[in-house]
Amino acid sequence: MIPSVVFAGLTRAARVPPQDRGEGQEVDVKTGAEVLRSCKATGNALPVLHEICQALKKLLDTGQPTVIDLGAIPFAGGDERMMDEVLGTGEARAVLDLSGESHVHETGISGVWRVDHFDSAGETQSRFVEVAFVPGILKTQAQDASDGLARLTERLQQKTATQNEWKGR
Amino acid sequence: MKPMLPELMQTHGVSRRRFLKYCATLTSLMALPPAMMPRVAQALETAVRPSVIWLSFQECTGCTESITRSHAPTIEDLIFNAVSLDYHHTLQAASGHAAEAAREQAMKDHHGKYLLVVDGSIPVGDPGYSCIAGISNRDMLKETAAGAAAVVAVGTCAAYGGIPHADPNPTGAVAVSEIIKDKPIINVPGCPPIPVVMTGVLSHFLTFGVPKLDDLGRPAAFYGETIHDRCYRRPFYDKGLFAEGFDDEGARAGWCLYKLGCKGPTTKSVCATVKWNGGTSFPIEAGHPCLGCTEPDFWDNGGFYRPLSVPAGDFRKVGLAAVAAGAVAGIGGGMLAHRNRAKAAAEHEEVDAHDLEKPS
Amino acid sequence: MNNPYFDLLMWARGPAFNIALFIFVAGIALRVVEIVALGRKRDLAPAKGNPVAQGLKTIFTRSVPRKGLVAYAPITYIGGYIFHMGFFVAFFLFGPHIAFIDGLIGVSWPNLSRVIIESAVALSVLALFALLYARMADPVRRALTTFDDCLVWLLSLLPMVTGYVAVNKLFGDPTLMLALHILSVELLMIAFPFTKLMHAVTFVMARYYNGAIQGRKGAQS
Repeated sequence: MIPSVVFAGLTRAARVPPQDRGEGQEVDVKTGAEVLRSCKATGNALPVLHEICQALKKLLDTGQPTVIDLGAIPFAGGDERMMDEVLGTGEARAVLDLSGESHVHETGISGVWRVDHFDSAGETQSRFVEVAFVPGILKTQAQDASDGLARLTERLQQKTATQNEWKGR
Repeated sequence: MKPMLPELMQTHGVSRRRFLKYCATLTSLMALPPAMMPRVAQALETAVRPSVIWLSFQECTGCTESITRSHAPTIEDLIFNAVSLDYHHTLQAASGHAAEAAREQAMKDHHGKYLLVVDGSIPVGDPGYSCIAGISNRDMLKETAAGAAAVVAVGTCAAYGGIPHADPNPTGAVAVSEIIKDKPIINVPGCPPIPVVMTGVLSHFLTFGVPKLDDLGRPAAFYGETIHDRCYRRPFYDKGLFAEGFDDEGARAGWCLYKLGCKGPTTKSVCATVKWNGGTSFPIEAGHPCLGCTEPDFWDNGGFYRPLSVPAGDFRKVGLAAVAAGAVAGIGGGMLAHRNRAKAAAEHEEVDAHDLEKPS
Repeated sequence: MNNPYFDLLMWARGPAFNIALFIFVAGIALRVVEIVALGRKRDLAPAKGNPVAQGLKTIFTRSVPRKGLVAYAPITYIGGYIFHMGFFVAFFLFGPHIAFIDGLIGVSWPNLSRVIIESAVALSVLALFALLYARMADPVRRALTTFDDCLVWLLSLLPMVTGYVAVNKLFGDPTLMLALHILSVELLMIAFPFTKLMHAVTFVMARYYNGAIQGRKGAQS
């Protein structure tokens, strides 16, 4: 077909690998994650930050904690950057081992925590901002404590039994 | 029927904190506000272990493979174990009469309360195309659905007819919703659906009943947005950087797969966020365009490797025929014009002022 | 169960496109062949000058407005340029459109980013409204306006608006909006050979003809 021949040059130009395009201009070959990080903000960070601010006021006034699900809000790299910039890093940091890690850290704004859950492969499962004096996930659950009590009692009994055995010899 | 979770968690040595982490993720996944988390936890704890009958019709067992691939011992697995799967002819140990007896027993014992899960389409042509224990798929579906609380159509075949329904549909395959009209039907399409989506839908059914569905009967939480909207390659689409082939630099650099036929812009699913194989990746991340498997008739939607903007028909022949037809008609028109001109010239008569003044 | 939006999209990409393509191509072929087949009388008195060269040159020179006319009718001229260039950029330099042309005739070229395409579309749409205003504000041009003109204006506007909505998911189901975008283009294709839209092809012939007359020095016999 004649047009194909005419446009062959152009077509080829379109398919030249990025690093061969020259002109000293760096055509970026980035991973998807890098692109996401570098891309612009959706403008959703500011409203979320205002929500966090209100939640912190509520925490101080009534003692009621608030959880914000970051997975429910379209966030781009720019928004993440803005969040981190405004909130900063704080004093407390914890890693929980719950079928995959859970990262809990207090931001530079005391009372505002980031809770990120990962699965055993290290992939993100869910991400939250928790405005509380202590994030819920850090607290020991009554049921776990009761299981712990049972385990401790059992271990103590074992230990006592072994020691009695020694004494008996 | 007894509450399912507490003992199971204890026997598997799962802490309550781990359970709460699961609830937090599940709440997020079901697109519920975080404040609902305690209610999700409570509902999961108190939900009774329901009887589930799983019917497989014209299918490839891919959906069953998918749902069993949530590698043990994840809590999703526990949730799934926490239902009483009374009939599933691929997974159950019983066979023959004993298997059918199990189905009939479950239907009788839990009448009006059991959950019916269907994968595979139903042939309405010759009943002999697909039958189990001598019962045609259609009859078995009608009989089993009659006493069900709800029906979950798992996979695109059960939800929309899927591959058996593809042109020319030799068996007359139809979706569950074409046959069952009087029960709530939750469609969980996908070829196969994401394991977490299947367990998420089951969890939602156990905790809060039938989830909010879209026009195509799909849970809005999992099928609310297109893959294109959440695709990590979306910035490349916006920048106009497209892979032109499967092995070019663009493909290696991870550019947008639109020109290779990606159906992401018209396909609703959470593949791009929830991902596959335990959150490892999803087809586009592996370098293949989306086939659009959660949409009805995806097999016939104009070719997997043809971009969405390219016409689906046999347009080249049409174009050539149009050139020929137009040219012939044009020559015809030209000849007609010539003849009219010749005719006008032939009929030309000379008049003078006297003629014009004659009363007419 | 069917997805009515997908069925509409498949109809738009399949049978509807074939119909539109046939009418578009056959219509253009019909009109061009008809015009050419009319022919001219043989020129028995070869003249000085070079009518062919002048004809070819005029095809391009007429793209530049005559002196003073831009100041005389700024909206018409500037708006016209913006609309035509914006339409050209949006149609020929958007990736999915190039994929469409590639699929159709096997020709492709580099594309532009969405920001530029969408800016071009926005400018084009604004230009279309400005042109409509200029036309309606002037009593003479309003009196000259026919149904054909309004139809062509609408048919040029629709693909750009529906395309913008489909890509940005402003409202409606994305599949439905894509189907509507393709259908709007098909309407444009069907109307093309039989309305003033045909100027996109015949302008070449008309300009050549006018130019050739100018380039001819001498009396025609």
